[in-house]
Amino acid sequence: MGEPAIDLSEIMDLYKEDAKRMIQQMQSALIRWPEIQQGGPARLELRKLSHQMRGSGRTYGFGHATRMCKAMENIVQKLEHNRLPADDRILKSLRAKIERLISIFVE
Amino acid sequence: MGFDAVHHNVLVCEDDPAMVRIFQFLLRQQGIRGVITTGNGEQVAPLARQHKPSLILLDLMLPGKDGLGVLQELKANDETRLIPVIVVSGKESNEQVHQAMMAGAIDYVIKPFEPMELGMRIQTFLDTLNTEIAPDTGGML
Repeated sequence: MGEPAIDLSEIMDLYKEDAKRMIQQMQSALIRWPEIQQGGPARLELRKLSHQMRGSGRTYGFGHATRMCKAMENIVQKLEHNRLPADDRILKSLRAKIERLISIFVE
Repeated sequence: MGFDAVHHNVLVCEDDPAMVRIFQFLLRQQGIRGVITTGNGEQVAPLARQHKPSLILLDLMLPGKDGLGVLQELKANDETRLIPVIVVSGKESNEQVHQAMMAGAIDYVIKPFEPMELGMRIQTFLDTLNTEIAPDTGGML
């Protein structure tokens, strides 16, 4: 999907502000990596944020943000079900995806 | 617009402000000014009983009470069971769609969605409502 067929420019700036705030919250959650490893509130927060941005990103025309967040949500779900080890490789992967989101919305 | 949309209201049940904003935008485009919003599943049924909306847009992942439970609660109450509900959710499995439709949803839109798509589905619903309340039907729903 390319640009949304309906002109969303009236609400686009607000969305970009929302996205920046959500990315900051993702960074804040990721800093609490031990909580993510142990299934604490930071993991729930990261899952919720990635789920929300997955749903809204492409709707607002940011398909790449939806793809990044879908990947993050999948990783967190796999952590929840012990289908991935919560190791440094996963931490790097999550951090890289958040960096990509920053490049979309912040830089 | 074929009917007086301004007299209809829609209850939006969604906890993501970005999605609430796009729902409000799309509904405004359809001429609907009365938009009630809540981001808490426990508040949906009381608000539905209070406002008797023409339509409910319902997310499935809500804090307080999940959307499927909300849908079942709405359909179990005589005051709210006839209110049409469109589920708009990031849950995309066939099982989730089936459960929601079996619980009484009239439509299921998967996030992320193309705004035009949801706008058209809302328009289709409003057109149906327009037909059903046309004068030659006695104004009855």
